[in-house]
Amino acid sequence: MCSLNLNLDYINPFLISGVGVLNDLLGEKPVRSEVKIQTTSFKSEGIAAIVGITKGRIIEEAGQLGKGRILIDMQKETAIKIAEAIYEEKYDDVTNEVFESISEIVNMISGGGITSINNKFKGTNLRLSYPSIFSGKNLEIDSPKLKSVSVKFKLSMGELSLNIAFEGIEG
Amino acid sequence: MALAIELINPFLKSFVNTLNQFGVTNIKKGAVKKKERLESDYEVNVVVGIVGDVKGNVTYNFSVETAKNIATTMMMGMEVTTIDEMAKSAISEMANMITGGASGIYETMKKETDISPPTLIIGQDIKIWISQVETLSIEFSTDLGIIELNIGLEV
Repeated sequence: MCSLNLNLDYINPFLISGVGVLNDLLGEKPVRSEVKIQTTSFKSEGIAAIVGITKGRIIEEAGQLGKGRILIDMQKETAIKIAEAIYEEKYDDVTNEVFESISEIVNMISGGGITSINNKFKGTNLRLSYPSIFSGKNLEIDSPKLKSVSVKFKLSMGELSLNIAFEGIEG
Repeated sequence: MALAIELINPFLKSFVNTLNQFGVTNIKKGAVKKKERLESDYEVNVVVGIVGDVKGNVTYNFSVETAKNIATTMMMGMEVTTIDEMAKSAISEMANMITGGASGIYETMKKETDISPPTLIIGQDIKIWISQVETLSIEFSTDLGIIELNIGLEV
């Protein structure tokens, strides 16, 4: 699985979008880690936001790209600090505003990524589902049948992981 | 109830149809309730997104014991004792089939939808937030155990 030859055409748009969205929303440039292939279940730090990707019509040039899933993950404390930075308010716990902030971030990162892919490959029509958010202890997250990669963004509020998963991500 | 029953019914029908296909016929549907809290009573949660004329998320929630029973049934009786990669794949396939079936019923209602791949979330003290509007919850008692559906959809 480690020799998987990943098609960066599908990964890079989300990395670029991730840096751009965090920079725009939080006013600081995140430090991005190396991209790692996720070979085991994704272990959550506490709060995970998920957006599903449906594939619409795909033309030949776009290869075997299929459905996908974008996940962002962080500690609860980081989520609260991010919401505080966006709303300029103080929150004691994971309130609705915290859910909404995280939901907005995953939606914007995913939206930026699929727009680049749809524009690059004419005839491609990737679409996003609404975000869903899960918090809890010892969360393990899997998307069976999808291949995924993870990357971390360092911010003053803490670390935010981005996991990009697709069917047919092999290039 | 803001979430129209015509959006919910395809899931209830597809749930029963899908389980029947695997020989699970003893299914009791509980009342459709508005979800007032975020806490999940279950460790195993599968979420599937729906895109198109109907938009939102559906989650399928159950205990680890029920998850093993579901995987065993999906794998045609091959006993599942731990939630390994193959079991996870079987469980997510069930969620995929139920949601896909509901999407098929929407099509007969002239509503075009497409579904995202299922994502499995397993852990403790889980809180679920799937819709900014309203989430409805239905519990089914089955021979496999209790399976809860949370539905957050908009047109």
